[in-house]
Amino acid sequence: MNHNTALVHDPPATLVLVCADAGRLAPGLVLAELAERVSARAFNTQVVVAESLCARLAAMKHAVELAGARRLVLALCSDGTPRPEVDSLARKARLDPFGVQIVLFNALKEAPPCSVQDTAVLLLTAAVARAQAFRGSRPENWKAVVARDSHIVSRRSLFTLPPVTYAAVPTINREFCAADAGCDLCITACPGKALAQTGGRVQVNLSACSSCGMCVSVCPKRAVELPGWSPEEMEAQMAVYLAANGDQAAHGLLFVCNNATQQPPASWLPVTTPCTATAPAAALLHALARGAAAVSVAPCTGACPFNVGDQIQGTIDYCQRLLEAMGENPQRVGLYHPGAAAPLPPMLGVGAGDGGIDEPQALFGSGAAAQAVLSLALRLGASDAAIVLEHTHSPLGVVVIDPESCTGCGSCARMCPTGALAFEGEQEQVVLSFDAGLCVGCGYCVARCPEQKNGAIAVQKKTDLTLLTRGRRHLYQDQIALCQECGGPIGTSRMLSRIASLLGSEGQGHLDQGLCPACRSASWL
Amino acid sequence: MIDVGSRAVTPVRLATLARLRQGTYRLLSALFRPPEPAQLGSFRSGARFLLQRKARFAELAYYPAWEDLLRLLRGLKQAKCAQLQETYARIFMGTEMHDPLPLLESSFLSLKSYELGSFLAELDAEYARAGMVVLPNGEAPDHLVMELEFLAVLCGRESAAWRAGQAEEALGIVRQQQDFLLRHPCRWLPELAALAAARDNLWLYTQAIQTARALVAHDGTFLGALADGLGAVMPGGGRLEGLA
Repeated sequence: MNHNTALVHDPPATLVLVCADAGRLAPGLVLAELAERVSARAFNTQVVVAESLCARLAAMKHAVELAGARRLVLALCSDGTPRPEVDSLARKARLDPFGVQIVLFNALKEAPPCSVQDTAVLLLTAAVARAQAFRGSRPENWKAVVARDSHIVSRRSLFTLPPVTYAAVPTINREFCAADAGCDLCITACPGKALAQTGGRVQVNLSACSSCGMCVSVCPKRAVELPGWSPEEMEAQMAVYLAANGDQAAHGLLFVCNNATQQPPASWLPVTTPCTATAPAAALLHALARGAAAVSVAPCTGACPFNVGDQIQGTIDYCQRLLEAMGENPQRVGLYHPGAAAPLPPMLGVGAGDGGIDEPQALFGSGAAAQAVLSLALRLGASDAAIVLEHTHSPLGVVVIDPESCTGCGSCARMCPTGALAFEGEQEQVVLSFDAGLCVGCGYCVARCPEQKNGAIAVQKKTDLTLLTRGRRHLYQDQIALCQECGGPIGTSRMLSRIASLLGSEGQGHLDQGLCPACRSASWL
Repeated sequence: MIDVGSRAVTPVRLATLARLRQGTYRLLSALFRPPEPAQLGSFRSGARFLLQRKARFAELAYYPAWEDLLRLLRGLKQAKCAQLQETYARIFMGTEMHDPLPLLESSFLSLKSYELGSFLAELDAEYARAGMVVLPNGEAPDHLVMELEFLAVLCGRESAAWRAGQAEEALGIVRQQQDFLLRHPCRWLPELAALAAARDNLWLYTQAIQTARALVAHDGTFLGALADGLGAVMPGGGRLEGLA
């Protein structure tokens, strides 16, 4: 039975090229068996072991053409291969380089011989899933980068084309984007100030964009597309890692920066991100809920161009406090320190590893965090606990309405980018409802509220387990006053009272008539 | 062309690259004119010329779309001219059954009627500043043909400047191209391509539009990065005196 059959609909043909020299890296790694197991687990995938692949990468073009592959996974011995060369060869083989996955086997040297084969299978199968989830790039996603060695300046070098590489830059899917309603979460989150809104559209300044992926991570609508770093790709990779826990030695999941120079040891399964600050709390919590022994985030090494250390630390702190509140060891989530690697704790119970690969769980966008929190509570037997965690890095928010000050205008719901707030008219009533599972605590509802100064609405960055389990609930309801002439709606009763209080005795006569604006105008003529 | 690790590669002279880019822009520009029987031979020979030099482009991101188009053009039969004319008219001029797919930038900018005149006049003035005049009986200045042809002319000047050793002037033209690309074709070709993709009967033109979109999007960042990279290593704040 192929585990991927149910989850991927017609995945693109994928070639896994394994360098034959990898077999000599770690005792216990048998490449023929590895190829067989990966082919059996990953759908529509062919595994080829190539002699001296690391030294003869050009051979990959021929192999891709021969296999008719649309996606490629390279299993190489070490990280000495320059990515630009791989990208260039991929392009010649008519593959999109942003979708090519590279798995480095050098970390397997440290793995115990009993588990090295299983770990290798897991790494490759997950890389295949990630490659198959790649949906391609558009020309607007390419950012050319021309490097020139400033130490070599000659007339010849000035008049010749320097090395060219390409970085992926985001594009905005306008079908999903809520910028026209006023959402600017991506713009605020961008550390390079590369995003701006013009005419209700988010525009990307390509020269300022550093491809960090923060915009992808914060968008509640999943409207930001960054090929190679899309939520779908990371979710597919994690689904394979987490499904395998039952038949593997305990593993931790490690979110690692794309620019990291150090490879994690074999006991940690790497999920590469453009910047580790983009790993959402939902991803960390979901991994634990699916039975991962621990989840770690590798901090930036050297000078991080994005300066987002506080963001990473904040997410970790939130997850630790939540674990603590659920009665679990908070150290299951933490920053990864290669020098002080403690042994992994035992897995969080058994049951995740049923051998099958589930549909990838949504880990980005609104609703993902609530799902992860509820799953973790279920795993830890804390579903019924009245856990309330207020934290500045809570990915969830709670909206509170003061019914005395709210006039039921519905502006908050119209502004809400996730649909957490909904405003509906039911016969002669209006109802404002709230789903805590969808709220990201952005605070746009507060900013839009005309009665903000009177405290009509507030948002707390808070994870409230009871509210999450309760689903959508009514926050406010009011009667609609109807026009005595035409029967059309005039406004909510509280809104009319508020207007009356603002107008004082001067406008009282108009309101007393009980007419809508159109009928009132008609009555004057 | 590209430094791939330790392998020795033959550097491509920027003059040659500019010349090849000129050929590509010119070929694309001609392709979006109403097709004439005499043009088909030029398409074939142009495509053959560029395909023979394809190795120079193979590292660039738009290469796959570009190569597909050249192969289509190389195989274009003279007898297909009538079919090409019919397709061109149907797509770009419209029929009773189908709305036209206009090749005019102004159609994609949601301009108000009073803004259209100044937009076209500014474009005219931009061509004039570069020493070019739009013929009164020719295409509109915002037609795709005109924008691509303008870029072809700039590429030709860039090539000549590199060849003459005038790096400063060449870099200025590179920046001029990037500026024009970002302000004009890059703004509307993605939308044109999306509309074209929604129609399944465009034949050669689907590929041509996709190639034009890929080329302008690519050059929009490539030229800027090239100018920054080269400008950074030019001694004396961009002067060539004293170079080894």
